[in-house]
Amino acid sequence: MSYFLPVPFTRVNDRWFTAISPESLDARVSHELIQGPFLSDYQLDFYRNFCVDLVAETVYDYPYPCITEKLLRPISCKRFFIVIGPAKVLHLLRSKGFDTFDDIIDGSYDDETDPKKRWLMLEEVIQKTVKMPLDDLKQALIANEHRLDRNLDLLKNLERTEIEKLRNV
Amino acid sequence: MTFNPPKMTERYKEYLYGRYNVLAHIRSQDFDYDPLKLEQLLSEKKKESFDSDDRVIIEHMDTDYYHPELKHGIFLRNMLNAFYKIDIPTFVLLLFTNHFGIKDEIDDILIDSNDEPTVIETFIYKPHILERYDDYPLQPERITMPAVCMMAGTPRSHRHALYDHMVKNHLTDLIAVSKGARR
Repeated sequence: MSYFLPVPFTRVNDRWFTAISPESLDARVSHELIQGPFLSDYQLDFYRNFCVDLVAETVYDYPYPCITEKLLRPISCKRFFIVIGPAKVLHLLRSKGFDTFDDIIDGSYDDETDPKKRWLMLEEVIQKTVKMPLDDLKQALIANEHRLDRNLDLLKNLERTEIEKLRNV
Repeated sequence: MTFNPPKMTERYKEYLYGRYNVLAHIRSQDFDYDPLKLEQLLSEKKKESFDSDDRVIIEHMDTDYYHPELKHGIFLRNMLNAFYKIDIPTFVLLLFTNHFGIKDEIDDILIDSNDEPTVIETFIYKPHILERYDDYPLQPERITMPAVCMMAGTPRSHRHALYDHMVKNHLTDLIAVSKGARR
């Protein structure tokens, strides 16, 4: 049996993005609101300046719904989120008991396994969400604080819950 | 051989080390570019026969490479090939992974369906799972922008495409973008 080692080897499966504007590579700047004290690496004080986190996950075109620290950050900071990542990530979160706020932000993009179609759905949901009046978004956050609290509690206890389940297998 | 420190949390480690006889504990990143390194490690752990609770833990929290002309992830295929090459039963493998649903892909590669590895699917691993979370009051009076997008870290083409979309659609006044917010 032989090993397979393509050269160059890359872990990123993103070949379908073929028309990236080159200036965008250099144009990214850190916004002035993204600074301030770190409560930890993952609970960030400056998240209080925003309602929604657009989570640009590690991978996008990928066969599995991988979740990293990027998505756990809005959960630990009690914010809404849109996941720019593989399909079925919201589905996975819901299977663990997390609320994905689909009544507030349309999460149907998560079911679309075709990366191109999912991208178009994501563009639409991002535009629709960030163009909502800021007061409406704030009110939605306030009205749903109990659900955000529940998500944080779930995250706090997730490790214990998972290990308990393994013990009972 | 030197290996990166495991990402497994202390609680998970305590549980798994209590339940199994752990022969080795490594990360996929340690050998994904060099399967011979895994082969060497497995050779050192090879025994005449393995007990039912013997395990080699491999943490699989890094992404695999999926080539359009290959049916399986390259890391996954190379890893199982190493077990077969050294002739270690695959039940000895404990894959600790954040790839939910990968068991089907493993089953597709396995030569003997009765010799199955243990697969634990989780996104609980260090350093992003904290020992303690603060309560984090909402403080809505501080909200001044609808959204944030943290694009720090490794450049990825989907992040560039996302930023491109924001610029072309004049969304950068509504979304604060970061390239360097993490310590």
